[in-house]
Amino acid sequence: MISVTLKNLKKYFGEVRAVDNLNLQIGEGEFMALLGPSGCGKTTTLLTIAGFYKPTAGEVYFNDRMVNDIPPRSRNIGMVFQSYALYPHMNVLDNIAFPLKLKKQPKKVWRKKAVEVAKLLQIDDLLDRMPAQLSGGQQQRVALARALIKQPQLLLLDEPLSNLDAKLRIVMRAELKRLQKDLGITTIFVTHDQMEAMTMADRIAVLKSGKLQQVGTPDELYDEPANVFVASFIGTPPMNFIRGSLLKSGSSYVFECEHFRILLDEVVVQKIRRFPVTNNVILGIRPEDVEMGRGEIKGEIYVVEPMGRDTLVTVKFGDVYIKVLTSSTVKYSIGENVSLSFKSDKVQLFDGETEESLYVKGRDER
Amino acid sequence: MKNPNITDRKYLALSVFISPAVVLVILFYFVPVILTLLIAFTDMDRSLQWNFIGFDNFAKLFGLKGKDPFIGKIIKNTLIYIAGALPLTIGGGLLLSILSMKIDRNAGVFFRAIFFIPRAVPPVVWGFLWVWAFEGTRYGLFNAIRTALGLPVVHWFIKYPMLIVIMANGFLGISLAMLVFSSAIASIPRDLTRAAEIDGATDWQITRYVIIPMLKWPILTMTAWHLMSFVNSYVYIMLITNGGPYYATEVWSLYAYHAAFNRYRYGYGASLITVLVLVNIALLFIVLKAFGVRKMLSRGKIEV
Repeated sequence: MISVTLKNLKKYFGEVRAVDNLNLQIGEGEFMALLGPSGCGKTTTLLTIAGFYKPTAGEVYFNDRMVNDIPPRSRNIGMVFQSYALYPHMNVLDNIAFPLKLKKQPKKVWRKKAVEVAKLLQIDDLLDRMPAQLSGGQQQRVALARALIKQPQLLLLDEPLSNLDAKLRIVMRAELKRLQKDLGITTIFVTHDQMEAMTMADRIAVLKSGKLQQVGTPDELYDEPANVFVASFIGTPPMNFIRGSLLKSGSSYVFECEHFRILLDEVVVQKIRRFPVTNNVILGIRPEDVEMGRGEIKGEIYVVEPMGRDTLVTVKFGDVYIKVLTSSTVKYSIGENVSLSFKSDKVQLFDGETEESLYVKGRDER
Repeated sequence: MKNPNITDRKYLALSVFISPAVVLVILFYFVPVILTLLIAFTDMDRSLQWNFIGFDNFAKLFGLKGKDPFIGKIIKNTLIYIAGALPLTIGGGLLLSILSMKIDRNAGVFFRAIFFIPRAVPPVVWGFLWVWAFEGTRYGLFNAIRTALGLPVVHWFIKYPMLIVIMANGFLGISLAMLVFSSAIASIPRDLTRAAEIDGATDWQITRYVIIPMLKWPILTMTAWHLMSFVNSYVYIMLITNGGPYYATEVWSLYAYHAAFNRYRYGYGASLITVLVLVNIALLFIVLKAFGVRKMLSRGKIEV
């Protein structure tokens, strides 16, 4: 197993800065997700790590070895492509064994190994099928088997689940995670689906427009988002954002917007690392951290969306809409007047200009 | 009384629309084919008399009754010509397309454009370029170079007539094969060659195990196409050597042309062509069989 280090990595395509000064360390055996919307540079980063793209500047290290000039075929990596990229003219056995056949291993050896890895992925009954005769899920397992057969020191997955149907995706999510832990291969995967990243990865690197926004465990990203982008990208339903001002009132702080004002909890105030130059801030609160029924914030129910276990209620205050996740045991109806409150220690505060979090970051604290 | 049926009227309308094309096909395709077949069984000559002689033409052709002294030579020429021009076309087309797709995009387009020139010039120009280049006097291109270097002139058309004819037709074939193969290579998903690279394949291995197998259909099409083309077409040979010197480059189709339109043995020429058509049909079946068309067209066992 290896660790991967990206040092000041830049990849430009003409004027387009696909990856802009990326610094990232992926530990041995770690399962790292590169997360971001399309065009954020995550696939470019993956293809640069694989060696298909040469960095415009910066370095890629496998352990302590700089690999910028090593071609993909010599990097000993396994890769699963979004399209699976199975060779359509070879059957499953030949597809899986292809990396070993290229090394001119005797048939006895590659056959045995291919059957072994096929068994591991439960596709050993499909060995004589052609790729066109397989379902999406089966094709993915074949692609994974082909990536694993040469025992790579690094596994790269490009949107591994995006071509599967919703149900299968949830099954494969768990299976991939378990497989990665069993094999212990350092794995980097690219996804635009925050749920996939949250559920599978040990750590997530969030990218936007080629720039790294935040790296951390799923919990860190969820509880301590570094900026409005990360806060809005992670979590469903997404976080509520309200623009307002931060005012000092005696020894405490008050968040004030057009429709309400709330006294900030002592815990929140202590987390504030620096106060914005202007008092212009954005308050963020997750739908599950809003409590209905009591509190000084009063609004009118705009829409009610039952989701089974929970109900998502949208409450309107003038031109501000707040989504609230409530238990479905209490019924609400449109137009009803309600009051609500925010769980005081769950409130996030961002600079209104830079959209950066005002809080001390988790690792600064420790 | 029966009402006019709407479906009948629709069919009538469709028939009216399609009839001009049908008439043209019948007039200029089926009628000539049938006429050729009929003429093959006559000894029609310049006098254009229909005098049926049964299988005499074919018997002469196969040496059963009377003998055509040139047939052996013609068959040998045809086989050598095809055995030379077909591999040159397919191999050259493959090589050029793979190389030109591998290099810089603009340079690739430039090279493909150069190799496409033969297709763009009129046949007569292409033919005479070769005549001029290999002219046996010191005025020919290559002999002019040799003369300038102080070397004696070479009588190219006497020494290497078949080679020149094969190259002239081969380069023409290459231009089309290269174009078809290049677009097929361009349509191979990039993930596939990337996957092969990750799997450890060298450039040669990617070409051998991924790109060429994926060109199976274009290669089949181009092989069938050019096989038929080389068996049947004689235009460039006629323009460059006209079958000479002394039957050295006279292939079957050109021989049939000469029999009919130079020596006015219409009956015999038609029988030569009839045999050629049968050979064509046989070849087509062999080519399709060799590439396992039935297997490739069969239904997959898809399980979703």
